[in-house]
Amino acid sequence: MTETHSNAYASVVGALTASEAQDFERHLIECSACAEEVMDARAIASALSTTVAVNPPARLRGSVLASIAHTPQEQIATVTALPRSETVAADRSSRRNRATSLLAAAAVVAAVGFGGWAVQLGQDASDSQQAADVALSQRAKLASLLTAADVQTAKLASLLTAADVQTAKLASLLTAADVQTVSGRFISSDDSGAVVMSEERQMAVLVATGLPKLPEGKVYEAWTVKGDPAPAGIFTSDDSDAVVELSDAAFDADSIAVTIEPAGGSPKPTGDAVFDVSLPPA
Amino acid sequence: MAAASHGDEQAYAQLYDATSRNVFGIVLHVLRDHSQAEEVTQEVYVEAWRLAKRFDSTQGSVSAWLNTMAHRRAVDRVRSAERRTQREHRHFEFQSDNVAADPAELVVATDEGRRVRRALAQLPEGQRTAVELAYFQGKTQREVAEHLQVPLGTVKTRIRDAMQRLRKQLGEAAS
Repeated sequence: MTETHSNAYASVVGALTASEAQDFERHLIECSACAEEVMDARAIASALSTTVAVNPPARLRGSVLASIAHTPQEQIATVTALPRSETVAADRSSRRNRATSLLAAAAVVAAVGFGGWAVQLGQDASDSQQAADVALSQRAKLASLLTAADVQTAKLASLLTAADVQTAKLASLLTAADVQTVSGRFISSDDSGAVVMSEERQMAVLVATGLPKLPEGKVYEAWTVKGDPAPAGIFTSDDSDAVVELSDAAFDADSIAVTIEPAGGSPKPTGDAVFDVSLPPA
Repeated sequence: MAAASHGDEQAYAQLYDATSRNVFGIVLHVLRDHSQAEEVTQEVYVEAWRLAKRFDSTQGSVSAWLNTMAHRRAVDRVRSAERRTQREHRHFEFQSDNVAADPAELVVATDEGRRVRRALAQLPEGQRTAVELAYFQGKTQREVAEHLQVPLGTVKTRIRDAMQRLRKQLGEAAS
């Protein structure tokens, strides 16, 4: 147990000095054991406050409510954890192994990107403890993205090795403060897809697994739908999985859809939608 | 909190009603000064409103979020007051005529409070004192070690053991 490691409980009861707290907060970003311990212990520390409950003076309520009435709220989208895919059957175990190693690769890249972000945040935040809270919550969000969506994330990871998409760009998407994940289902199959987007990073990606096999001479085409569907990208898939970078119109769209179109794509959808997911209002 | 994070002031008022006595209580017990406790409590609720969207229910309850924020601010304030008075070579004492006689007299007895107090009372004395000095008086682990005249490592262990024991006794419902 390292010195910093042993500070998990002390941090929760507020027994660290400012510089110890800073060291510990840095440690928290990379140590999931501590992050979990802290989360747990916070609930206990918080329960201690019930032993000293005191009713605040009535005027405080009015004063708080008057203040918030003209205090704007910070706007951050939250991550919705993707449903764990139950569709990886035994005969796909070799793919799963590959997915696991890709996942590890994604985790490494994400951690590097995340570290950089945390450092930057530390400089910006006036309150280092507040930065630690944000780092902890972002870390948990990232972890939930990496574990709850193993298959989808593995596909994101496979993009890291693809020549046409910049590794750094994808890592930055995964670690953006406002990264948002919306999952949907493919029509007439149990497989799932998800849209991962960050307005801050100006990047939106469609991640699909278990795509139906394309008929000869056909392609998948993604659409951003707001009123009339607009083409958002054409893709095919060799192994029924795909990761597609969507056009910027995704940020304004009400939904993202995928249809099967003739090779080369169409200006307007001509086939039936095989995938459709509604995006939350911006 | 979900509603409050979308700007629902009425939902926030309800949240305030449900949580403010714990928030105010812990701040008052750490600061031991009524007007400062009011100030910090106000700051906590305005800050929580501003950052409401950062609250993540998978990371714990909203009361744990608020209490953590409140405790931290109170401890920060006590410590900076201590630093100030140390610079002035004065014994630490709040210069306010608004000091509550003893916050303990004002404590609202709740079922959960009783349950937690029982659990605290069952801790071995060394563990309980370490947690109380740190959490309720805002002392650093080093100060706790000096106060109790035990090595720093012992304080760390006592705090950890105390928290783990409390968790076992209070179970999952504690928040």
